Amino acid sequence: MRTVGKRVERRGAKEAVAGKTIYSDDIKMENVVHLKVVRSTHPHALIKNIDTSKAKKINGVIRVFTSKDIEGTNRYGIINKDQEILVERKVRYVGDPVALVAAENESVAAEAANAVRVEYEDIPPVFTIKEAKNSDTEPVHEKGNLLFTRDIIKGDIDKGFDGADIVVEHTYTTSMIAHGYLETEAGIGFLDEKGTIVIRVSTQNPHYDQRDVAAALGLNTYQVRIIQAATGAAFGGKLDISVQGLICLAVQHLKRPAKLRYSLEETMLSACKRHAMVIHYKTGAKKDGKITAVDVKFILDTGAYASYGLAVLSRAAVHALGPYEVENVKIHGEVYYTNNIWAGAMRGFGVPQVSFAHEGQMDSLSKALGIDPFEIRMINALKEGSVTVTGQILNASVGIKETLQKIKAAKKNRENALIAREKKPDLHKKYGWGIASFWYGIGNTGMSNPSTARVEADKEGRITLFTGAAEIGQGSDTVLTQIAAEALQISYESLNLVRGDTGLTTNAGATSASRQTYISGNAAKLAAEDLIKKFSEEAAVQLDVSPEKIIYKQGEFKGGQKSTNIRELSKRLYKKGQIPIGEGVFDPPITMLDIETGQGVPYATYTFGTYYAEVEVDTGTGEVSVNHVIAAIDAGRAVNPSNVEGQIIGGVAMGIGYALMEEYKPGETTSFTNYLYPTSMDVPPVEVIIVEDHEPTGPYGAKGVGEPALIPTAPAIISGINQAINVKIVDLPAKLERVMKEIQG
Amino acid sequence: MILPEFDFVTFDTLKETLNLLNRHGDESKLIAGGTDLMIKLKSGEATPKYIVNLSSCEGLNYLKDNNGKISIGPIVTHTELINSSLLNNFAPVLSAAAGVIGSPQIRNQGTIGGNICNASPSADTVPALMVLNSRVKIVSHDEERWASLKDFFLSPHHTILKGNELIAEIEMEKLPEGTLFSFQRVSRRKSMDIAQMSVAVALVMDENKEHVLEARISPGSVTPTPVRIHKAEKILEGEILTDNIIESAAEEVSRRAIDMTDTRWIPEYKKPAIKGLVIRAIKDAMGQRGQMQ
Amino acid sequence: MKKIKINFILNDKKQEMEIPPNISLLDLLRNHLGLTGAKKVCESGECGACTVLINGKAVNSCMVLAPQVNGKRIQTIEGMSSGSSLHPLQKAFVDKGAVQCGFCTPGMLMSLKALYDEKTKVGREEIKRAISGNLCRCTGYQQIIEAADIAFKGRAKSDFTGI
Repeated sequence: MRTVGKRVERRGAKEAVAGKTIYSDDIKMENVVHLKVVRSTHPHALIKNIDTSKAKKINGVIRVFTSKDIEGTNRYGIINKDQEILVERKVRYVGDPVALVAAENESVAAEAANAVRVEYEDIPPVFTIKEAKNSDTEPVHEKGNLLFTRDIIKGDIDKGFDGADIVVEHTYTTSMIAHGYLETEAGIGFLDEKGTIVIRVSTQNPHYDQRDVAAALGLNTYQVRIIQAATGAAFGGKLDISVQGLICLAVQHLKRPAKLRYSLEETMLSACKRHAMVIHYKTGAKKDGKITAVDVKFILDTGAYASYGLAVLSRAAVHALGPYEVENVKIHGEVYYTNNIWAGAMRGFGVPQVSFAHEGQMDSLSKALGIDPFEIRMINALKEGSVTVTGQILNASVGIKETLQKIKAAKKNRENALIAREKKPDLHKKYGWGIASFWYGIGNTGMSNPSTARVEADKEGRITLFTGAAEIGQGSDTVLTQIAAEALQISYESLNLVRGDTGLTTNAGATSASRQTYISGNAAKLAAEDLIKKFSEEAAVQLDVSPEKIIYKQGEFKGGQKSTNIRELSKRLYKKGQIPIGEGVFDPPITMLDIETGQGVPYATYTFGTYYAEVEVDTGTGEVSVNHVIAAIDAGRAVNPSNVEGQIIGGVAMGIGYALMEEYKPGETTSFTNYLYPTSMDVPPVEVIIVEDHEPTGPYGAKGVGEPALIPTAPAIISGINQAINVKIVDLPAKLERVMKEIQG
Repeated sequence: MILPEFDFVTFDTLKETLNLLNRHGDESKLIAGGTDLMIKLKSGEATPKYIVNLSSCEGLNYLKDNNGKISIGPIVTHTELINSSLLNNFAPVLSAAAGVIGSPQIRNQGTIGGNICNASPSADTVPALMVLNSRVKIVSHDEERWASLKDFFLSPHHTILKGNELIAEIEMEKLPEGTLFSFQRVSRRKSMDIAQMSVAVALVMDENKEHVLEARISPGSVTPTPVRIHKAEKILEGEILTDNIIESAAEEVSRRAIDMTDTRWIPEYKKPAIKGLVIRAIKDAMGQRGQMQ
Repeated sequence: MKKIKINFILNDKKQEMEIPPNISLLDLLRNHLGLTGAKKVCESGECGACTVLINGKAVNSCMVLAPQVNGKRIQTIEGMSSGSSLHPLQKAFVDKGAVQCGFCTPGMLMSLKALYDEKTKVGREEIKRAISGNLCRCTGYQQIIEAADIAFKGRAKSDFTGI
């Protein structure tokens, strides 16, 4: 390999270190209008009246928009279109947008937003699942508070439990979590010379943005152009429409450039969060450690709007079993609307939650049966030829056992450190270690999610990759360029990239579900191969040989004794009025999940892994420190090892926060002052082990890593705490108070 | 960031500064580091007519040995406290406390005067200053008075400072060489966090470093205003410290801290945790005996 | 509200301006001076994305009132490289994969530069502490620390002549 597998320089890194990367709020435009959203302060209420008269009188206010100004459907949503650009009839959570102020500057916009008076007629709100289930008052949405259910049934659960020697049952709970991206939602829009509304925005899916914004505002898609601006991270929080629709509305009516940036407090208040979950988990196993039955019931609170609720539900259901082969499984999941802040996609999509449960169960089994935690996982782990919980046969690239073995071996190097720390004289300190394994399906669950790509050569033979895939810091710009360059057999540095612009690229699907390397990578590879094929055809003409005789190598096309190259061929084609273009489409081969049994092929490939964490608990104060982490992930193939390591270490840091300190409390959490996530002092040394069990259907064997990187961290840490102080923590986060409560007994 | 309107004034001399405060003290706010004031301006909690800049004012930035006491000017930054060899030698509990505040950026900007005047119950320098028997010099256009640090605080975020006054000096004891110090803190993460609770400990030892001659303990973030727990101090004084004695004293701190405050103010967590923290602090202080000389 | 005249040095160049006093240094840089390298995130001193150097010390520019920079020497990310030559810290970031989304990067580099200018030899713990006021949600900090470590270790051999 020339490029794939190499630590090539990240695209955009040089600009970033010079402070030259232009994010949405850095873009300056003349005559720009400043926007500010007016948000509901009531959790569930009819809007009786919106009085904008006072606001409009303020000097510098240009317009105050309400839903009356919206000419389209005023509906958007990534799955269910149940959300409005500006609420018309009823607000459903504190933060729901009801009006939009457009002003000459930021401070006038803020002043005017405060001067808008909204009259509400309250409807009884529901804030818990219990309330959502049992309430006889007006539901959050017309069809009722139960949004969806998902069932997976495999084998015979009763038989399975009958055959079990022991049964372990626990209820696990997790909290709402904030994404914590540093760049808040931001964008800027303007009218170009043709009257197209162009919006530069921080987003994970520009092509989806274009469609939903256009429909919501009554425009045709060609009238809206979305260009992904450099995006300061997202983790799933920038998949839904945020500022795009509001900016479009302003530009559409005012015919001036308009910008909107959420303050951090605004993001905390009104942007989606990770679903909180309650998971009832019952596991039956034989004395020898083989699991015979698993029964899981879990509930999600998706808050005021559905967003990705359905997808999180489905993915959580599929993954709830863990990376194990079990004959008898019954999984039932429900997702409810409430008047809490809406929950949506966040790194892991339900799997960080269910993996906390499934690994907690493995630990309980391990303890109850006296079987080593590595061993109990090895006994049950999936392998090539295994049948998954949805009846899918895994044909290849099932690296879970290898990750377990690698962690076990790496742990041996820690023996001295583990012994040394026990010797430190401190009554209060208790030490433990834990492991956790996981699996993660790459791509959207049980649905078509294609990616398209294009490569084009100019008349000098310089090639550009066009992809709609959004780069959000996870490295897709770099990796897709590597894959395409590899397939084109040209240098990484020589391949240009145009990305994330609905005016120039085609849809690659969202940057989510850890799908871009695998799916857009395949599309890019196919596009490159298509271009080589087209060049080969022209080479055959130029060299006057039959096309099968053409051999391509690193830019050169040989036909018998003669040869030509990309540059020459490009010149020739341009002279003929033809532009050398290669196109590629890839859609993972899957089947939808059966509505009753959940059986099907939800993903074409899965990433597997095992993490190990060493923890230290101060039993005097309840403080937990993570002292060392070893992370092993089967990524299929690391297209760029630096990128993979970076994602894994970043995932570990996020997982430390998830395990120990992060908890979003609606109404209480307002900013980074009270939403804490790990600093440099909180993250210990992380050893990364990349396992490469090649995925035959992946580009050069690659799968996906973005979300897997996070998943097993918290379960491994909790496992360590449990060992250290001999407890079983079943609620996340294991914050000071919780740990102290466990210590006190 | 949208800030209210105000006039920004800077004087080179304390006299001119106090003059302005005399005329407009009640509509003024002082700024040195600014890390607390900026938050209040942003939230609208503070809407002063004047913001009086102290950072160029002469005579407020010093850290010196002053006849057996240590005197510090109010605009000395936390970073300067951390790096001071005078403090590291004779009052390391204060440099340790300054060292856990916020972040490097906050420590470079924030000042000891600001930390005291903001009077947050979780102000980190305060417990350290309490075990050093600190007092502050309060000056105004007309007068100059001293107040013990304990008397300086009225309630959370309220001090005895009147609108036309400012702190011109913080004076503390220089404890005998060989005194053992510790500052410990619990927070939810290891940087950029306020204290869930903290404690400063000073142990004056006998020649052999076996008996505690004098003990000083001040918990932070667990009472509305700063205190010393004399009952706990007495448990340690005159003793060779064993685990039992240490535990006794720690329990007393926890008990007294709760007695002094409405229990609603201290969640169940803090009761055992204060005890654990105090034990840690005393042991940490005792553990330094081997490292001295 | 009276405007204030301020004189200061910005990235080695003298600046003289008349400004309204009620703006932060961050807004002064971003809105009045066109320097968007320092990022706006929390505006409460909690994340470090707006870090710049004042008289060589790292501060959160969102927490500095613009008039306070009078008479001071300010350095921002825009002044870190020398012409087209990257500072050793910047180069190490690029080489070691220390950049992911890039939003924390300018602030991180500023905090590290303060350390770099103050001390010659530092260990990893000190590097870690120097960036303990800069949040990053992407990288987990390790590659940033490794990059800084390499830059520090390589400085004897470096012939960089930037500020």
